[in-house]
Formats: sequence, structure tokens, C-alpha cells
Amino acid sequence: MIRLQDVTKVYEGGTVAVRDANLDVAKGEFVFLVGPSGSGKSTLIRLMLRQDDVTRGSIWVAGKDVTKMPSWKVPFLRRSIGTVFQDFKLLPNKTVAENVAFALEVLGRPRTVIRRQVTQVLDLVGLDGKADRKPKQLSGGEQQRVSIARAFVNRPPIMLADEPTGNLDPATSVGIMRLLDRINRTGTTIVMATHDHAIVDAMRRRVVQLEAGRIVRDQSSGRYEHIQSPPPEEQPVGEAEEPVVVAEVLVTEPVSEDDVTVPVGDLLDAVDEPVSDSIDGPEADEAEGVESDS
Amino acid sequence: MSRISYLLREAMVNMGRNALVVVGAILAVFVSLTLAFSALVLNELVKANTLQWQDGVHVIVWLKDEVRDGVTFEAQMGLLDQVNEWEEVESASFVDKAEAYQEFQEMFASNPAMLENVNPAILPASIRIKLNNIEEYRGVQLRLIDQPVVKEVTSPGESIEQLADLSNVLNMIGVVLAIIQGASAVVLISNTIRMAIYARREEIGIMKLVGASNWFIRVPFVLEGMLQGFVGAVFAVVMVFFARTRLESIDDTIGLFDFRVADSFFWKWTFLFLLFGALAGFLGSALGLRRYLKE
Repeated sequence: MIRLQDVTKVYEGGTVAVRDANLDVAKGEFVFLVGPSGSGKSTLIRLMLRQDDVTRGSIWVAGKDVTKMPSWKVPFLRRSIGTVFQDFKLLPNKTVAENVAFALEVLGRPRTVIRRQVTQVLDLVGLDGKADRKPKQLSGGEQQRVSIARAFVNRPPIMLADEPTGNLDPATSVGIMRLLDRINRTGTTIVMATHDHAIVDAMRRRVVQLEAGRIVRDQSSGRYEHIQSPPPEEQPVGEAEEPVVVAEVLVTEPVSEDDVTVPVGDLLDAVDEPVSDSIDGPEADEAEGVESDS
Repeated sequence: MSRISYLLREAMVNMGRNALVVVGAILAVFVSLTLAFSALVLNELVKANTLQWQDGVHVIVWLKDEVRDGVTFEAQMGLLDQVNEWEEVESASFVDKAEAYQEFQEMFASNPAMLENVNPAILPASIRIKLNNIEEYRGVQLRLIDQPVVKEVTSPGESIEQLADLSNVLNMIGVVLAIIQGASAVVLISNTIRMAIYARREEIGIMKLVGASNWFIRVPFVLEGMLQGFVGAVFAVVMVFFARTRLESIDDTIGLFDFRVADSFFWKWTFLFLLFGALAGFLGSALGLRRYLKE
């Protein structure tokens, strides 16, 4: 679904944001990009969206070479990618429903289709009663749900999330992660940049670690920290490695154990099970317990 | 359909936000196009009036006399035929001594003393020439003066030329001012577009993220610019229309100057100026978009 080949990005002024990155993400995968601020996580996401051009290398997204794409085709690339950001990027003077509808209006969808899809997706994210609120009247977690709804309303095959929980407290973050997990279970490929240890450790998904622009670890069912005596080495591209068991207690099972049984179809009209921001059992405890990174 | 209404709504909302700058841009278009249109009308008036002076006779050829100079009627008619074949000449007609006397009588009907001293014999016959283009009068004059049957050639061309020169100078000033003002209108419109882009930068960012095509992002701004130019042009046309009505109501019984402009002329240029206005708006917004809406 996403393939990076020897991708290097040097910004004007000589800052090397990404260096020789190789990465392969299969359809339906959930990948965490981890690493400290400035390690190149956001740059990778910008490159996949073609918000920036690579200096060297190539990036394929959904079968197309993004780096060689003429600029008039870029909008079509972006239609196949839902995006979620730390700062939500909602329009303050539009209601929740209008913010979500905006993504479809821009594509020229008929009004009736827009109305139906917006209602559906707001149900999905658990905001069905708040369609007419303005973003300011919502909590941070709810605002992020709106932005996820907007990213997903068009049912893109890929979703890129840059620190989606960065502005949220741990408990709220868990709710957002459950939502992203559900979306992932519909077959949507998700790449999420984060430096939230608790979330990564709880979800146990593939972890790609960046340091100073290099991919230094690529591990399936990984944790945030790769605790091993020698410094982390680069992993072969796209080859998921067995999780390295370290001398640390696994606090709990993955967050969405109970969601595993929910079939994809149910997910899309899961009106009866709104995902709330409330503290949700063991995950929340864990989230608070493991939180340690700045 | 919902797209078109969306785009138009966006353009209107934008203009509401920057009302003052928008008014400035519209006024600039208005002044520019009013100047240009007025210059054009003035030019047309001068042309129409000089052309119709002296019933459109541009050159008068006074012929030598049969009695005194021995020039035969056949020779005179020969010249007439010859002149009629020149390509600068629209038509030429012969006025004989009797007709000239009649004309003289009419012209000086109120002056019996003049009439008493004149008889048909002393008034020369003449050829009256209408030219296709009045500016060619000098060449025609030179060709005629060497003809053996010609006594003298006169033309109102010189005074027409002076008037034409004056109107050319006025026109030039008008056109230069109109161009300067037009350029400033384009720049002003590009500035309103910049403000509009700035006011909506967040929205534009999101539109790009969700995959709005470039034209979809740009069209509201282009429409906005074109609308500003068009509204300015409408004001200019209305202004000139009133000026024209006012001119036509001037009492022209003196018959010296005709202030009427042909409808066909006026409406043709009205249409063109509305187009110019929209075009100026288009240029302005294209400039604004190029400078301020980077990929």
C-alpha cells in the first residue's frame, strides 16, 4: 500500500530530515512511526501526502509513484488518504456536520449523498448527537473525532495520522485509539506518528522507529522502547521481526481485545456503541502507569 | 449545480470580508474604463463631425474659365472623369457656373450688395470631391494642382487636421491615464485576492488536504476578481451612458458640432468594456493567485 525506497529529504539550509528510508506497509496494516521530535516522523507523512517533494528516492502510495506525480494529480492522491493531525484542523465557524461535509463538498458530491455519509460517519465516531455544535463547544477528544470523521467520510484506503493524541490527555487518547483501531479493522491502512509510549505499548502493532531521519527499527507487535544493550540497528525493509522480549513486565493485553470480534460491517453502523472519552478500564490505568516520555 | 452555487457563495462571502479594499479595486476599474470609454467617444465625435463638415466635401477644385483661359468644357469633364477613377476618391461632382451662381445667391441672400456685384460669368465652375479618407486630402491636392485645367484647389483639410491633432492629443492623454489606472486596478484586485486568500488560508489548507482540485480552490478567487472588474465596468458604462445622454440633449441648432454618437458604436463598446472589466479582474486574480497561492 505504501512503499518508501531510499527516501532522503534535505530541507533548504541543509537540514537532513529523512535519510535513506526504506519502508513497506501492506494493505490493512497499522504502523506506528515513533521517535523523538525532529526525528523525521512528520516529514515522512508530509512526503507521503506530497506536501513536500523528496530530495532522493521514491514513494509509492496505493500503487502510484508519488514523487513522479504531476502536481495536478496530487489532489487525487490525497482523496485516497485520510489525514488526522494533532491540532485537528477544524474550521471554527462551521458546525461538526459542516466540517465533515466539507471534505465531500470539495469533491463535488451530491447533497443527499453528503448528508447520508456524514450522518453515518458521525455515528461511527460517536458524535451523532453533536452534529450541530461548533468545534469550540466540544472537548479536545470530541474535536479529534470530528477530524477523524472528516478523514474517514470518504472511505479512503489509507489514513495518515500525525500525533493524533498529542493534544489529548491519556484517557481521551485511549478513546481515539480505539476509534482508529476500529477504522483499521475495516481494512484501512493506518500509519500513525506518535511519541506516546503508553499507546504504542498497549496496542502492540508494528513499530517503525526513527532517529535523526533514519529508520533504526522496524518491528511487528513492537513496543515504543526497544530495550536492548547494543544500540538499535536498522532492520530489513518490510520484514516484520518477532517482538523482542525484554526484561519488562507486559502490563496488559492489547487495548481492543473486545473489538476483535466486531465484524467490519457492524463497525460502520455501530450506533449502539459510541466510543466515549471516559476512562475505559485497564487501558487507561496502563496509559497513566507507563507514561514516562516528555 | 451545488458546486456552482457553492463557488458563487464563496466569492460573495469573500468580498463581504474585505469590503473596503474591494470598493477601492472596483473604483479603480471604474475610473480607468470611464477614461478609456470617454476618450473613445470623444474621438468618435471628432471624426463624425469633421467628416460631415461642408456636406462631406473634402476638396474643391476651381477650374479655369472657357472664356478667359480657353479651357473647354470637354477638358473640364475629362478631369472629372479622371478624378472619379482615383482610388482615394469616393465621388466627384461637377458644379457649373450657373449652379455656382445659384449657390452664391443662397449663401449671400441677406447681402444684396454682394449679389449685385456678381454675375454667373465671374464665378468659376468647380469639381467637388469626397474622399474615402479625409487624411488623403493633401496628396489629392498636389495631384490636382498640376492639372492644366485647374486654377486653384482648396480644402478644409487643414482645419480638420488641427482639430484632429487636438483630439489625438486629448485621446493620448486619456488612453495613457486609462492604462495607468487600469494597471493599478489590476494590482488592487490582486491585492484583494491576496487578502481573501489570507483570510481563508486555513480553509485552503484543509481543502488541499482532503483533495480539492486546484481549480476548485482557485475558481472562487477568480470569480471574485472578475466580478470586481465587471462591476467597475458596469459603473463606467453607466457613467458614459449618462454623459452621452447629456451631450445629446445639448442644443445643436447652431449646426457647428453634432454631439450624437451612433447607437451601434455605443453598444458595441459597452459590450467590449464590460468584457475588459471582467478581463482586468481575471488578470488581477491570476496575478494574486500566482503570487500568493503556492502549491
